[in-house]
Amino acid sequence: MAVLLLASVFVIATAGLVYELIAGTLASYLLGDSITQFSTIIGVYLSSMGIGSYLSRFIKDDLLRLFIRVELLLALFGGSSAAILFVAFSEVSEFRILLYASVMVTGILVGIEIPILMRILKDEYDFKELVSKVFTFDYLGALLASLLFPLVLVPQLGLVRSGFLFGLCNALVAGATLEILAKSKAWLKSERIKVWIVVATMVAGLAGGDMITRWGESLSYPDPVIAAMSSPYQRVLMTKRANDLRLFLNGNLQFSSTDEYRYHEALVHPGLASVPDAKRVLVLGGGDGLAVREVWKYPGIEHVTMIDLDSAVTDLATKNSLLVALNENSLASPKFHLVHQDAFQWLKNNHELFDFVIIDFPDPSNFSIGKLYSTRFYDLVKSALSPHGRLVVQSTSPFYAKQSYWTVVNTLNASGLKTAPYHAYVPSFGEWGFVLAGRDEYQLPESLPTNLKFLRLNDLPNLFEFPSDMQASVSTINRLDNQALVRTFEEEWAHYVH
Amino acid sequence: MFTSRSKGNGVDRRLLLKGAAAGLLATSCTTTLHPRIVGADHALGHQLRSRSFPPAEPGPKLGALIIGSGAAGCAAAYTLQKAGHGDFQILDLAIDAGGNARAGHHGNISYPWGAHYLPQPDRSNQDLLQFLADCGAIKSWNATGEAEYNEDYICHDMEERLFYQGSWHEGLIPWKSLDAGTVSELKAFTAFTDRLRQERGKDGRLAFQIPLDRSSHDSAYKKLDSMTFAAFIRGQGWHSPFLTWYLNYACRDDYGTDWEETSAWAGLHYFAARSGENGKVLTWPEGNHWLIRQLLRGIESKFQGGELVHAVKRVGESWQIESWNEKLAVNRLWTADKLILAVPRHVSARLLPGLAYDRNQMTYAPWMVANLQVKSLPEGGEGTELAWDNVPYGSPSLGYVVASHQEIKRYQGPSVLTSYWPLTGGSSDYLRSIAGMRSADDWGRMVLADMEAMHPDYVPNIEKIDVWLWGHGMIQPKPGHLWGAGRAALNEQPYPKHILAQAHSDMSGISIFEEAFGRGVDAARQILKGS
Repeated sequence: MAVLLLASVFVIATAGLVYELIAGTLASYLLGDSITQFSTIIGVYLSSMGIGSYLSRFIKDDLLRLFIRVELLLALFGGSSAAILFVAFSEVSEFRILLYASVMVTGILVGIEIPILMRILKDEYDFKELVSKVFTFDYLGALLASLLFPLVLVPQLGLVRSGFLFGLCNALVAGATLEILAKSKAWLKSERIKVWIVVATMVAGLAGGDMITRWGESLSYPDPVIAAMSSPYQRVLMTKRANDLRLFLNGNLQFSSTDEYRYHEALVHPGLASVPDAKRVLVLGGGDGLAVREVWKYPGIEHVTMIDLDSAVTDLATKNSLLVALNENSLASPKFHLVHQDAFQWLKNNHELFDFVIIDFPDPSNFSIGKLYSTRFYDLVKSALSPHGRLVVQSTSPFYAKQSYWTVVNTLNASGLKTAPYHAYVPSFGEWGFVLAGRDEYQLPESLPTNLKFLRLNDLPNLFEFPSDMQASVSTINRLDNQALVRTFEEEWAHYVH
Repeated sequence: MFTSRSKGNGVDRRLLLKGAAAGLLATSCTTTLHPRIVGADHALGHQLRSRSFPPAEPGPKLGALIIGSGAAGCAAAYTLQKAGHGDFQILDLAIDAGGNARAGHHGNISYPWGAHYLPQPDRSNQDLLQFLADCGAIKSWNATGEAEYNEDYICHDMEERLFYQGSWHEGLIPWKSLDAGTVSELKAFTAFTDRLRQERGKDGRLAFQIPLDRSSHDSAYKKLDSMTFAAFIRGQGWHSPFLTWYLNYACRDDYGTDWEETSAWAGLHYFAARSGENGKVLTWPEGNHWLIRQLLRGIESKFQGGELVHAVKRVGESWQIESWNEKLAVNRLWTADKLILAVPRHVSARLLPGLAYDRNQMTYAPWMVANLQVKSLPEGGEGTELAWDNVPYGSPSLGYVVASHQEIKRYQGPSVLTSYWPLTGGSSDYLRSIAGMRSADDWGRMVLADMEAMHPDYVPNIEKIDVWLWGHGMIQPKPGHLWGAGRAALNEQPYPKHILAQAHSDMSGISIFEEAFGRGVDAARQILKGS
């Protein structure tokens, strides 16, 4: 009896710590800021264990039966906590309340366990030995958990299935205790049914855990999630591994800090450096502030207006220290003016003129976004261009989506603008395309800002050369009533996705 | 990243879960949604039949008075004003101008209560094209004389889609899901109407034209008016269920009338009267009310709503018209040299004895239109994105139209969906009385069930349902009416044409904007001739 119960102390301790680690990791994944999350989770968990230990004094008799029941409850709550939290994250508005409640329940149950066990064992050993043995196994279990968790459980099983695995361990402890120590008890049968139900639930969870994991988004990102939020418009999420900071909007990569300078230098400089005496810049999209960082490399810029609907992104760009470091606090300038509005609506009422307009929208993957690549939209942007002003459009990959890219060029031409298509290689995106457009022909700039990491003046002409596999003859014009671009884009990317 | 999340965010899926429960309870939802019936001016209109009014107080003396502010009345007003004859007033029973082309507003979203689009007119319809240019819907004319439309008003892609056998298909015909027999029937029908579109009668006119009176009078075509569209199609040996549904849908959509009751000439007119050189439709969030506003631009003050015209008399050299304003409790006497009657025949025949009106020949289709205020738009669903016009195959409704479709926005927020229900499947009188007996909750349940069938679990996104009943929604082009003696008699009147003009799509026998507009313009020109 004693050996069995001491072994169960070990299992219980391991499981208990695993639940705690799951909660902490989940909270950091989903809510970001791992220091705060782990610290608060540990605090709540340990104090709840205290509450549990306190509550154990009110348990008078039938200790064994109660122990089995606590184990089963722990199996249910602890074992399925990861699954429940994952699913609940997107469905429940007060996720934190659920998170801490789950941690508390698990903590309290774990807190009840050890005192009860000690009371069951109190006749087997003398007090000195009892305390020594129980806590030895308890702490050894914790060690095992802390090693298993990062080395085996998370990489091999993932959070959800690790939870169910240890839920199963708890249930098996309950089962073993029941079958070995409670053979003669009248309640054997009724408890046995409960044990089987819980064991079956945990096995089912283990088997189906993969499916639940797919529900949880964080695990589908290769790198640890450091910030995640849902704005009314989209899911905003940042990951970081070593020096690679990444921003995802609705699961689509916006930049990787390892090579974003290539994208943003290519987006901004060939155009802005070519506009003589540029003072006023308009940025449509680009809420991460990285394009604006490039704009400030021109001392003559007096004013930058950014239209980005989603304050969740611009808040991140002004408050998240990692992103602020990356965008060099570009959005904090007094010359910077931010408007949270739909670009089309804003342009419709706009009377200001700009020397350079940066259009950095997501790829035209649906009809709502496709409208922002239409003749109608470009007509409106054109009316915001100063006489010698120029605009640049990020226009998807001329390699992966050749027809789409040239459709954008063609659409800008149809709006009566003279275009200069070019491209650059950005490792995380592949070969990427941009189009410059203005009322007059594009002239290469005579100089570039000095502190660039990617572009060199001598290389610029090459960007405007397209090799054969990125050329296409396209006659389609993307109009609001044909959405030619979205239709082409869908077809082209379909070859590369899946 | 899991794909089910690609379009939405946490909020949407949360709704989805709640929706799963609420969707099952679609019926009980109506109790919390409190559907209501709005726009009930038929009650006031019916007073025309029975009520007596206090003695009239003398009112303004005018050059011309227009009774009725639907598309025809407004087109007449626009034409008079453009010709420099601004001495007129428009009276209407309704508070707002527009007739079938009225609109509602919710926050900054406008939505239609009835007519909601205009196909790009053929080049032959110069009056209409000129008006569209006047109001900026046409921006310019290209070298070959074709109209360049303002892109904001051309229905954006995706225009329409069909919910067929559990999934959405772009367009109204799910070509890939149909069997070979059906496809060949559809192709044969299309080839047939393509041919018909080019054909001319012995009189040299095109077989089918808009306005309809410009069509050929060749009996080879006119005789198509003596049979139903359904009979004609079956006579061609076409029986497939899908073609049957499709052509019946077309009749219900354009005429509010089942194809078993629609004249074959009218059914074919729908497919063959437009040359198809453009093939696009113009639309606005508020539907055709946008056109009404353009017609009345600058002359808004000449419109007087809430006026029930109940007596029209020719006294000496002028017209004396009495109208009752229920709100002000005033019975007013208007005096005018000329009169344009721009009301449906079942009203004008009561106002002016001597106008032909055969109740059995001229029947009106009742309609129900529901506007649904929604928190967010339905998802595109498998295969297609949300379209402007979303049509459920086999439903008694025509589906729904998205009011915010023409908006250029990255993220669509709350919107309004307009659900159209031509009430068919019985005599129009019977259907009208049945419609009157239904409560707002009854209609609400029908609409919710229709939405639930197309979009499972979407119902919780619906915040409000407003219902509008059009008792006499549209004149019905039943066999024999268009080219029979009945419609010809509508032109007869007891007064000379330069002092009394009649302007209504009733005169054409089909209720479309082009006909009403043409009738209004003609009526104005007619009374101007005598000036």
